[in-house]
Amino acid sequence: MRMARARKAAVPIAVLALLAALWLAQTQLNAFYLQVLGLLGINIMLTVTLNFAAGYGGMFSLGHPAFAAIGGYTAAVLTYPVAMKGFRIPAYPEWLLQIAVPFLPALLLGGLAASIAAVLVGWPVLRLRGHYLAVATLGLTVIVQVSIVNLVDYTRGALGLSGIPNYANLWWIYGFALLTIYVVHRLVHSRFGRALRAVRDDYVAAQMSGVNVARTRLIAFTISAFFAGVAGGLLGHLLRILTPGQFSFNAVFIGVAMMILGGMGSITGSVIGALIMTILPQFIIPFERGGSFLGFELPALHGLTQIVTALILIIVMLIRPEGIAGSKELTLGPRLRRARGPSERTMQTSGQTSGSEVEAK
Amino acid sequence: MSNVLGRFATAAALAVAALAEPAAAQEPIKIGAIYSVTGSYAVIEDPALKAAKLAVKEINAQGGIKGRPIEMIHYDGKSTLADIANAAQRLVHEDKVIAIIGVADSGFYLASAPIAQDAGIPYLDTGGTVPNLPEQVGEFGHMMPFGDDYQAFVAADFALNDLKAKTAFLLRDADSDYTRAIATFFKQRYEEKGGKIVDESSYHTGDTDYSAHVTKIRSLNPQPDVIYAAMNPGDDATFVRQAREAGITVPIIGGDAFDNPDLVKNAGANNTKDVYFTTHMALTSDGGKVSKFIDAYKAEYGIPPENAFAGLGYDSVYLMVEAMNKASDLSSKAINDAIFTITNFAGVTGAANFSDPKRAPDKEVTLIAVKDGKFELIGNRKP
Repeated sequence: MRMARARKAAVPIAVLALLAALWLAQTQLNAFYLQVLGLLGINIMLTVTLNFAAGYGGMFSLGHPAFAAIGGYTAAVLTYPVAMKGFRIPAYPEWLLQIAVPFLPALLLGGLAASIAAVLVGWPVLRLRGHYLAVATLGLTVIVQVSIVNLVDYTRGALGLSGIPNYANLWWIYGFALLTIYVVHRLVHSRFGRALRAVRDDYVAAQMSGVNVARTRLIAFTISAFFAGVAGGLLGHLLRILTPGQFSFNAVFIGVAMMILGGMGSITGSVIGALIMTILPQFIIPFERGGSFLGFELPALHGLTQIVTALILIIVMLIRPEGIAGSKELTLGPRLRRARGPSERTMQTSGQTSGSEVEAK
Repeated sequence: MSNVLGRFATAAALAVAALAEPAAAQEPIKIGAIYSVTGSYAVIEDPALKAAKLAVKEINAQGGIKGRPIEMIHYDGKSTLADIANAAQRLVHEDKVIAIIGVADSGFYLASAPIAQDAGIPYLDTGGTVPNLPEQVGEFGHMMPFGDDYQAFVAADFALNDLKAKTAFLLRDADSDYTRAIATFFKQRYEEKGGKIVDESSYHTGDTDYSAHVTKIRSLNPQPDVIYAAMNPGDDATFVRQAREAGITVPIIGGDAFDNPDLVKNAGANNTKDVYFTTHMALTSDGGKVSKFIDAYKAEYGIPPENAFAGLGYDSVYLMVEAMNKASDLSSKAINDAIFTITNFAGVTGAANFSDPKRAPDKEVTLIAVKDGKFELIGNRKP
């Protein structure tokens, strides 16, 4: 793949600008803004990784909240303060009760646990396609949630595992969000990614072309679950509590809404979707409680955020059924497009058959 | 043009002058409130919010606190953990409130309380009933309701002393923390005081068929003297109906989840004979304070308080007000310290003592009997 000079310069500049913005945010903003930005980063991660499985891989998973839950609880149990482990989650083996693992290995082990669950579940379930797969993975979400409620001595049940150390700052969250975007981007634009989209678009044709369909889907599903698991770990260490209610149907709905709003099959779209669903409500919330704004007396409008986000979702689906970004990506300047190799261009258009408009490239 | 501008400037100056003087004298005291008015918890937290607003209105009508009115800033928790944590951050860091009240769930409370604790702002839990929430949070965590241990202990004592029940059957919802807790505390107290749990069984929230449990109870020989049903709202009525229709006539005792109008509506007045439960307040009681609250609520919203959480929301505001009145100054720390000195709080949900910094207040539990489809007060008791 040839690279344009423009791109060589643009990527480090963009990364540096982001680092500077993160440094400014982490040092200047109060805890409220930091928390909202942290949730944004986690939602970006969850949406991008869901999009990798559903948008690029055609595996419409409703089980990603379950992977986030498994990763979240695993990481939290590992980092949990030793002094509190004994009486709050006493069912683990003695050696585990005696250690508090540092944050990074805990997150990675959380991701690994989610991946193992994905392999176990994916093996039988990925033979299904379309809404059969969706329903089967939704079952996984239900099973994991009910298990957390009932394994009280391991998870503290419905009350939630509180007192998780607050390790997740913007550096961790955006570091992993960038890593997710980078890995998904590289995978999608690799031989593996082309095979994955071929499977999505035409199962039989892909198999005829020598793609190992089952293996390709399982690998993609497992990688996707890994990042969902890490995102769950970050969430627990940001909010400092995990409860089964966080990984319920509502989480399934929000995740899918963010992905569809931005566009299935676009990383840029996932970022936009997460941005709208996380940040926009924060601007609407002050209006919900009523009061006077610019001289106007407003009544309390509870539920306004839900109504506005639902309206945005409906309007976007009416005007752009393929989502805001469709399957396009934000590119770093016009030179880049010209610089792309011919092989990549054909690959780009081959991935367009899922009803979206063909890119003007 | 200049004429218009001049007039505008004069008017603006006058307006500023008019506003500035009283504003400085009675700058409002900002307290925060987090109640979910959308989502699954709206049914219990919305009445709490309405009653809290009513309380603020009453206090401001009486001249506020130390001459300053209260401004309650409320955010919808949306029954979602992240939104509740965001609301707490916003109240602490953006609105800079001096105290917070809110939520009717222990998980919601634990998600938001560390934020207030870190900022050194007192935060009063309105309805979460895990007994040691303040201990889990720190010195700025407080609870308005009694703990689950209190209501289960009162129920066990009532079974032994009033109903003379020497043997009990225990039915519990295995899916929720609340039902597990009251079942465990009931068993502990009942056996400690000489009662015997003859058998027990578990069900899952939302089950509609209790025939297995009913058969189990019927097959016991002799029959247990009492059934303790640690159940959630909705399930309670279904079970009571099925048990009574199968001919089980022994008394049934439940927790505060029984305190909902659907119990009699869905089980039938005939089937709720000899049904008792423990709760936060008797909304039918005609004691002076409670009646006044019910009338004020009716006048404000056109309906009587929906459930006891309204009373807890109302008391939450009044407890904070008493602490503010007692505090040497209106700093968060002084208010927090003042809460511990309140040993005889007289609220609509019963008398309470807040001096123990580690757990729920020492507070009366209300015992209710269902008679002819109506909730009748037996009395207020402490374990």
